[in-house]
Amino acid sequence: MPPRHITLSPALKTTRRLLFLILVVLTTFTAMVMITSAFQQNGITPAEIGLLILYTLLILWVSTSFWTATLGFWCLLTGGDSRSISGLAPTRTEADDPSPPRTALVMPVYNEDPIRVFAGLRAIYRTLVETGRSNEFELFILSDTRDPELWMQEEANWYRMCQEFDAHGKIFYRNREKNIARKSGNIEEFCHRWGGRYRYMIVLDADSIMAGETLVKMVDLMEAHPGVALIQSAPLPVNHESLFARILQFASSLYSDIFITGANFWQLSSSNYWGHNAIIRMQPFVEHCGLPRLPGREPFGGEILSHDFVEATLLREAGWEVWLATDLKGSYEELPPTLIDYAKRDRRWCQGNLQHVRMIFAKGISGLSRLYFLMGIMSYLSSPLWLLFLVLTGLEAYVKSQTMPVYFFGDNVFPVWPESYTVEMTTVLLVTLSMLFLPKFWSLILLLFRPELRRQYGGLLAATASVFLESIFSMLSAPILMLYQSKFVVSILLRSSVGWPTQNRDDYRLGLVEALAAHWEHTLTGLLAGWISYQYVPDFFLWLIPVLAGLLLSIPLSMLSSSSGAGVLARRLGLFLTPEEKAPPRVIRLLQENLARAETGTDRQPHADDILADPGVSALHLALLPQRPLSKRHRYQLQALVYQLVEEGADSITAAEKRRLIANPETLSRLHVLAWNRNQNRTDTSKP
Amino acid sequence: MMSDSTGIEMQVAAYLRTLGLTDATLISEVATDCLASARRRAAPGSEPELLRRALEEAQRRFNRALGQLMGLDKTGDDEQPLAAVRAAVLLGTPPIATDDLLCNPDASERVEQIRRTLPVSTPPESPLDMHARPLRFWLFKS
Repeated sequence: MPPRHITLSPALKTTRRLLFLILVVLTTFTAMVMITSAFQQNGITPAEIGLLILYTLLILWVSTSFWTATLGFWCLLTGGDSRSISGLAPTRTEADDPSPPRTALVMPVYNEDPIRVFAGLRAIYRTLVETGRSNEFELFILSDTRDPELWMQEEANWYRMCQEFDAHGKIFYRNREKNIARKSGNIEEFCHRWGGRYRYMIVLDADSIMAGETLVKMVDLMEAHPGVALIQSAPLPVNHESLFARILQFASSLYSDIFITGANFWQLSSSNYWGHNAIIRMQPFVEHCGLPRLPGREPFGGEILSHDFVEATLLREAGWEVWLATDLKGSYEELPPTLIDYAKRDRRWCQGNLQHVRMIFAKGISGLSRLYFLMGIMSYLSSPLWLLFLVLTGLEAYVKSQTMPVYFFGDNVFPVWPESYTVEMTTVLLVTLSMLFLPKFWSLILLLFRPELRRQYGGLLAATASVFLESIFSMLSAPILMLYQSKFVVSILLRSSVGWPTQNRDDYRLGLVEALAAHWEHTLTGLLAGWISYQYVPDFFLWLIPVLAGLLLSIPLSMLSSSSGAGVLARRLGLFLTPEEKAPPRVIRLLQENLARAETGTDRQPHADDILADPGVSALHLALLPQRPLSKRHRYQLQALVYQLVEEGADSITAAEKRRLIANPETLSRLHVLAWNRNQNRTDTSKP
Repeated sequence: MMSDSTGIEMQVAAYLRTLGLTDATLISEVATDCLASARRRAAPGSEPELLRRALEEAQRRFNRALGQLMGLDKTGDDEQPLAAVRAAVLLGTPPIATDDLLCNPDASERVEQIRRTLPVSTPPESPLDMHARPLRFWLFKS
């Protein structure tokens, strides 16, 4: 059933999108004209045509981002955009369902650290209880965890959480027997089985943190606008101490406002879904968002990896509104702690986004939806395009350097001096750099008009210094990420699939060996490119220095930025401060308290080694196992595995086999006795 | 032989303490009984098997007692509900002194406490149909 409630007139949407489009196209066109006039010196060569095409694509991408930020800056400078979901008048009528809504708060997890997951969940739930409206919510931990010990730890933590909040029957846990279709399949299975209980679901990631007030506000917004199927909050990264994460946390915190407001300016009610920290209306989601398997094999076929964009598209195409909430605070997530982890996460996302190539050619979807898919693809494809652009520019510069100028030709009596296009080329470069760096400047200007916020960033001086250093860091790390992403794109095009690796979310100091293994190729590339350009095209070498510096420094940069010590030192110096660090919101404080309690041991956490030996946890696991009749053959197989474990030790069987053993009541009981015995013997022998 | 049995009995006693029993006399009595029962089932001379069977006997007795207390009679069919009770007793906060629970005939208050804290992992299902949407493409196979 299509929605009846429309929050905005189509004319407004068209006007804003047209304005945005004109600005982007005009900027691109102007840059193209300038670069073309420089190229036309002696007629355009094939290499120059290639450069022109590449530059057009890249400048189009850069100007899309620039104008989004600039429009957002303008909106915020002039008092904010009244056309945001929280600023619009309610469209609810008396004909709408008057029953109180029930909302499922769902967190899909997959082999995550249970201590962090539950520290976050407890913080979220505590703040939800404090709103006085927790009875409108039910929390679901949707586990796809395969690791047998983590599985049992999750259960133990879940039960402890139920106890802590006296929320038995309000907080739920289920572990899927088969993790079909990964995260989207996990959510889909939830909708299949329990979707009918809820009007809304709020989807969290394993590292999501959302304040209770924000959750309640999201439900209220959905209630006020029955034509809205999805509201995406803009999560801010928090809670890490490594220098890398702190720099990115600062950048996201300071710059995201203008980008989010700008995106809302032209996207309005046709926004997108980012996969988590969003509220979804259950009925349209179930009706329209069942995802098919794409024909062909991975990486382009098979399960849809980046399901969020596709789900938002399906909702929009069905006539439902999808909003990005610009002013909804209290939504957080965590970043990978190091450059290498960041790149690893990119590898996964890259495959998901490149898979959307096919979606651009989907029948019956709007141009806007195709644009979103294209933007997602470009966020990774731009790296190999930049790389190609640099290589072609170097080659072109080399060819030019080898060409002797001809001063006398034809019937000319006087020499014809070669025309200089330095001004045009410098202008092109400056325009490109301005578009990359001006959004940072816009954010600083906004701070001038917001004294309270300025104080939270440590004052204007500290914020300016942080922006400057952040710009240097992003300039140095950009070539590294460019090479990483280019490699990912090529490997995906060569049909190598990424699988479903678990993310590392904890702070740790990167060692030299690991840094060498991850960055030797970048260092070598930097050395080679530097030597070749210095040797053959010295003029180009000068232009290439910023890129070369990033590559040559990749190992120390990666190691230094992974350091929590450097991150903490920067904080002491007042650098990269964010409001969430300066005055942490209650939900973040609770998360940190929960994590500290788990670390110092004041909060009892079952240890991985003795989880099976614990009769309570073991009983809990048995109580939660789905009842499945077991064939004789399987029973014998499991018994054989138990004997193997007894005779050859726990290391002789795989994690999947351990999982099979603890998923069967009979063998679970046997393993519990064995584990308890082993622990007891260990305790006895350790006694003096 | 005597010292082996004592060692196993001590292990069983330790296991009973893990199950929340605190009364030393009761623990000693139950451990002796468990061992005696295990001896009838285990192959002679196999110490690990004797210990395993004794521990399993301790579990069985614990289950039986909890089953009677909670009105769950058949240990075979009620394996999972019993496991849920066991989890609630062993993981519950504040901790429940099991011997008090098992020996005190007037434990109705505690029974109610256990019932309130029984693990409920999922609510009743309320299914919705979610069918895969067909996607068709230009240039690509659909």
